[in-house]
Amino acid sequence: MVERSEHSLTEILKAASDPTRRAILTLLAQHGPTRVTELAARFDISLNAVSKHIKVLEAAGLVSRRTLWREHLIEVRMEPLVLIDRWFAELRSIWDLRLEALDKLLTEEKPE
Amino acid sequence: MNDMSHNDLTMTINRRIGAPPAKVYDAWLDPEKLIQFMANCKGMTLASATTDPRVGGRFSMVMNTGEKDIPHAGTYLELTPHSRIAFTWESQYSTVEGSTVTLDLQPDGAATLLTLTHVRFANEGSRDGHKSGWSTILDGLAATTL
Repeated sequence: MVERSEHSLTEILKAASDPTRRAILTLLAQHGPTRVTELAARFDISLNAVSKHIKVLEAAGLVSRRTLWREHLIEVRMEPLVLIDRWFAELRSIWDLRLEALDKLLTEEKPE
Repeated sequence: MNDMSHNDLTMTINRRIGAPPAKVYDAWLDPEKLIQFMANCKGMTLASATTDPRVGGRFSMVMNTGEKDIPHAGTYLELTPHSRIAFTWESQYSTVEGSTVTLDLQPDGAATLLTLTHVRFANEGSRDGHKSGWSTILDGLAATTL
């Protein structure tokens, strides 16, 4: 397990733990690059609030920003989500092993 | 990609355990038993475990990798004798709040069908009315990586 990727995973999960931020990601995935002002309008929240959410997503590498004329376009970055997939696989294998051990423990415990 | 459910980061495992639900239920709340089955992964040993099996009670366990101690802890959310145990799950890498584990036990003859559900975002909200399914996002990921 690489410590650095765990750190990023924590950041990604933190960033994704907020329903509004997940909704922003979903919208960006469906609609492609979107203006900050348009995001604010779609979610009926202030420009300031949407900017804060975007900063958190940006820090986790889940979105990137590019400037076109004077508008900031926000784009979803899918690459970091691979880490979530990996984390899921690891979590599954850990619980699998524990349940296997539980089964073994309780099966062998029976008086013959 | 694979076939596991990504929806709101929920993971489910089904497994048959060769003992009746009462035994399985008790094992999850017994520190001596926890020590024997919870650490059986990746060369870890479970150094210690404590439980306070009541709703709102805490449990804790310290796993040891040989080099360092990794503490795990949580709070019991539901204890329905021999059919359901739910608890919060806090570990070094689970720094996001709202990670819960639910164990459902169904009798199957002299055995138990155990369903373990690990939910990452328990406090799923729809306060803004927007859909926020991970499946949609990860469908996008699958399309991107093809």
